[in-house]
Amino acid sequence: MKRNSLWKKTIEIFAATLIIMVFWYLLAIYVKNNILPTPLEAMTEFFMIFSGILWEHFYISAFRVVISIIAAMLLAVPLGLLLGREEKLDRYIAPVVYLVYPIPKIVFLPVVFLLMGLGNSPKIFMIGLIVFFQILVTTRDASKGVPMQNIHSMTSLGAVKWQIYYHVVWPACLPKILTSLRISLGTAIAVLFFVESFATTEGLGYFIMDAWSMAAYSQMFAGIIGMSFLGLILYVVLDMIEAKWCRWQYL
Amino acid sequence: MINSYELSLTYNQAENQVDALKDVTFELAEGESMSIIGPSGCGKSTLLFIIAGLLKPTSGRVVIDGCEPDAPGAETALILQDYGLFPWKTVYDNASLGLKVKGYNRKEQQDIVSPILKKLGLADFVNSYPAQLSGGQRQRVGIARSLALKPKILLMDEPLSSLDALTRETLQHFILDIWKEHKLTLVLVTHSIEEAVFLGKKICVMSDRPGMIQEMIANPMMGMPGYRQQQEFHGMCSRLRRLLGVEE
Repeated sequence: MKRNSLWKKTIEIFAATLIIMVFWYLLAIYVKNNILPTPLEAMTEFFMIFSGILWEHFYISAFRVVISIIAAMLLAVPLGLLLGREEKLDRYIAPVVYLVYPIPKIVFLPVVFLLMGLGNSPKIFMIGLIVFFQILVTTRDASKGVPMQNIHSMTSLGAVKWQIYYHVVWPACLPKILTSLRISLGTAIAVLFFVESFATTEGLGYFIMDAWSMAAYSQMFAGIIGMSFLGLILYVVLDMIEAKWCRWQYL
Repeated sequence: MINSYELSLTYNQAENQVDALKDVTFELAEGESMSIIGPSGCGKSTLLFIIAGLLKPTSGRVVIDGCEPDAPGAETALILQDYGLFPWKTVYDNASLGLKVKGYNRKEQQDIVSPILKKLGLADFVNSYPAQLSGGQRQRVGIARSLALKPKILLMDEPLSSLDALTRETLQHFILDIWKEHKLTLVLVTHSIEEAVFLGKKICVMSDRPGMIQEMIANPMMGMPGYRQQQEFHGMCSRLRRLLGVEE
């Protein structure tokens, strides 16, 4: 990304934040209830506790989300690319995916907790499982859509299969894979909140629920801001990866 | 030397069978050029893909210097109309891709590709992406990539059909120069009558489906300086027009 556009983007994000704050402020005045603090109160609280108690929760939540997305991606992307190109394989696996994809996998949470205990692993597994299917389905469709002409032109250069995947299928699908990661990011953070909201004492989800139960509303909002901030950072990281790896898309 | 013996190819589409090619027999000597022209869907591209080893004929066979063309990229290079270049690779990476695939190292790739790009007037664009180039420049990158492999046979599938008329003529001269200089065997599929006459020492006129050779015309004046302006050129074009059933 060029320096200028990075600067422009930063200003845009600040402007957008400001607009949201204004609406939040108006709503807070209208509601006049301490369950909805003004943005100033919430932001003050956020900056006060971020480097203290909030940081640990932020850190563990970030760890869970990032690990689950990376793990899901490492499994779903190669499989998706393969299923999109290898018809025989797809014929066996497609019906399974078709059947499993619409199941709301979050309902297996109790089972996962029972089988995997209460540590990090069931939470990471749960987020990863849900995100896995989103990435898989998008990647497979993208891989299926790579024009035959591209493949021919590669074959005519004498390329073998792995070279076709490396030079054609993967780069052709990368923009769509990144889009699927962006969508998955939203899902992942929503699921994160859910899996952290009970049977744990760590993470932003816990922090928010705990503050709620103590009626510490400005603290609760500091947690909510923390979670939004986490999403924003990861979103920006994806943007940067795209700007670097898919430069050809932005000419 | 390309020999084709009674090539036939039948596609199985759903329930009905489509004869794309039927009994196509021809011979093309080393260093010769042949243009293939015919109505849409007459199997021109199919024939080219068989010569390139990308498709297998249902019956008959193609022999190139005594071998069947089942290993693409060995001695033949194929240039397609649009999708030959990869938008995610720079001009340089596109041009050196064939060498990379064949396992040449970076240094060797550069020694071969850089002079070619320079000669094709693309030296200033090595780090550009295809989307930043004009149609003519893009096609020259495609040609550069093929030349890098030092092929004996150059196969082109309507390489210039998406270009404007001026660029098109420039590139026709350009292909002619390359053909002369590298002493390539050239097979060119085209829709354009002028192009077929300008670039084919032999002109293979194909009939509508099933694709058969309607007539093989010798075009001895091809490649002579100023051919395009001469009476014979226009005579040949008129003859092709009549054969293809175009009203004049």
